[in-house]
Amino acid sequence: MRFLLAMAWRNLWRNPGRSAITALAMGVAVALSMATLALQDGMFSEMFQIMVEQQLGHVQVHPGGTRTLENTLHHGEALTERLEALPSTLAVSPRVQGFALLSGEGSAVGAQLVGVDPAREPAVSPLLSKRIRGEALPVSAARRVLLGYKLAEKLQAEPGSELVVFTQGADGSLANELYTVAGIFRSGDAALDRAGAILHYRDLQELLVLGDQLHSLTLLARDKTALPAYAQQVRDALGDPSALVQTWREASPETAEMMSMQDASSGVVLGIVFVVAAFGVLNTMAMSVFERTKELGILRAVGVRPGKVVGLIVLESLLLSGVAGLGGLVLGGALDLYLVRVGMDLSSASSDGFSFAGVMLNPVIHGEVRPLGVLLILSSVVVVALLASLFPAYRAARLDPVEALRAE
Amino acid sequence: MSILSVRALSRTYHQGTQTIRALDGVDFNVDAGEFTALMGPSGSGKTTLLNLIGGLDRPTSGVVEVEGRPLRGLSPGALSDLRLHRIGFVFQSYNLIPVLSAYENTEFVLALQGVPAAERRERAMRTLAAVGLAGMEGRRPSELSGGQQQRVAVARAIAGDPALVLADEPTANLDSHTGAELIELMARLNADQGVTFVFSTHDPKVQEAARRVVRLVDGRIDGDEQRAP
Repeated sequence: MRFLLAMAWRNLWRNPGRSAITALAMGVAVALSMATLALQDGMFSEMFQIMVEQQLGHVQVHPGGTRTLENTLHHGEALTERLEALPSTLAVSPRVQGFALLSGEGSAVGAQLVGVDPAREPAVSPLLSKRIRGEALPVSAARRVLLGYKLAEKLQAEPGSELVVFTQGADGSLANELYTVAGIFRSGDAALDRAGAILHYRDLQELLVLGDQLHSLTLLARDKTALPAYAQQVRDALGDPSALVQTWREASPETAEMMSMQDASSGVVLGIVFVVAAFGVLNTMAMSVFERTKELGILRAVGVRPGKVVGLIVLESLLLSGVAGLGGLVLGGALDLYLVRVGMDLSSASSDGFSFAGVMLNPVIHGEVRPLGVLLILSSVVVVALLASLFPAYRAARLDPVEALRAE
Repeated sequence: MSILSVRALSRTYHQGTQTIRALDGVDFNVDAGEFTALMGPSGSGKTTLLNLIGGLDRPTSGVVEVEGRPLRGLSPGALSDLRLHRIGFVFQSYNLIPVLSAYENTEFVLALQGVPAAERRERAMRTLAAVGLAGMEGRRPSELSGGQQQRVAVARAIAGDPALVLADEPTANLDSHTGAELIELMARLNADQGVTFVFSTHDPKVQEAARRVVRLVDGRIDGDEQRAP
């Protein structure tokens, strides 16, 4: 074995130019794949944060049936506390929703009202931290509102401006109240930025005449990998068969579908590595076997079994891919480090950030490195090198010793 | 006792529509300790005969037995094992492994045979000294002269302690002086260590060293004479 290894290693560097170019191509493919994968993972992670954690939570509770203003979860406070008491619960956020006409300086605009609990919401979603101007919502109800930055532009509202909120209560009564703009937010969710107004859920309950009723509860589980089981625990704790308990995948299948694109696009990246590695190794090993026909004949003549000849060629290819993989890992590691720390700035293309599937992403994409992804890239290089060497190795083992010895 | 027994051995090749009878019913035995030269002009079948004896090629008909064991029906792997353990080869054009040193080329066969490292080292060094290459163990083939390379090839062939060493025109690429030295070396190994050699040559000077000369003409044996040492 030691002999085969030494021979394989020395054979590899008999044509240093060819081996180095092949190794370089494979190494660069590994490094670029690592960087691309890190950027993709970073982008999907931000999307997951905006689309799932900020909006959907891990599990949602809604009243069963049509979503209307009047269809609610009763005893909101008690329900919230009961779910908070579950050991697998990380956080619970009660929410109330409605529509209203907001009237500011000379213009009136339709808006989506989102009532949240400022004390509980930060544990579930970063929504309230997306404020870009003004003050936070106070923890107790005080008729203050946060406006999406585009809605604020339309209303020409600034922190401190006063707005009149017109809406219809659950009992059919008309309500109008004077609210003060606390701050302006920019969430990355295009719809919310355009028409969203966030206020204290108690204020919204009062405005909509809902008492202690809620429209939904958004929950985060301690273990986000076991959400169906967690959803069942929530169902059991609610004891209300009419309530609809859904994981985020069930609540928004289109989001789930989009997230599954992550795996598909990782597959494309790996495919590129596969092709580069396969052609590189196949070419290098096929040439190397062709050039060494006579030598392989000698090996057979002195008593090397055909299987060992296969082993020698495969070993050469594995060493080549090992060198390439190691070099690629170093280069790719440096690229990944840069992408994680500094990120890739796309603001020259769009200073506002860019939109992907309705989500406004930060213009500076930060990489995220999954060790499993790196491992997958490296192992795919090795596996492909192994497979690509089998054909030349098979040919080498099948050489007719007499013919091979006659070769020049 | 016969180490090698060849009976009614024939080998025909097809080249286009032509059929070439490279060997045509050869009968031939070699006993342990012999130093036999196969003589004959180019194309007389010497190389074909050596390739068939070594199991590198397969006969069209006839039998080859090495130490009583017929080669017919052996798999490529089994033939490899037979060559590894029982038959040494020396070729016309040295044919060393270029990436291995003189020492490693010799040790390689022992390693394949599974000889333990310490014994391997001792035997490889002793064999290289026996062929006159002490002090040159670390040199790669490209750093050795033709004669030295052929000595390494002889060392590789005898290191594994084979029953039989087959040498195909071992002096053909050497000048007459170096060629004579190589044959002298082989004769000495035969006399001192009892290594059985069968070598082909068409050089009349080389055959003088042989104690048995088998003449091949057109694939048939045309003469078989014993000589006094």
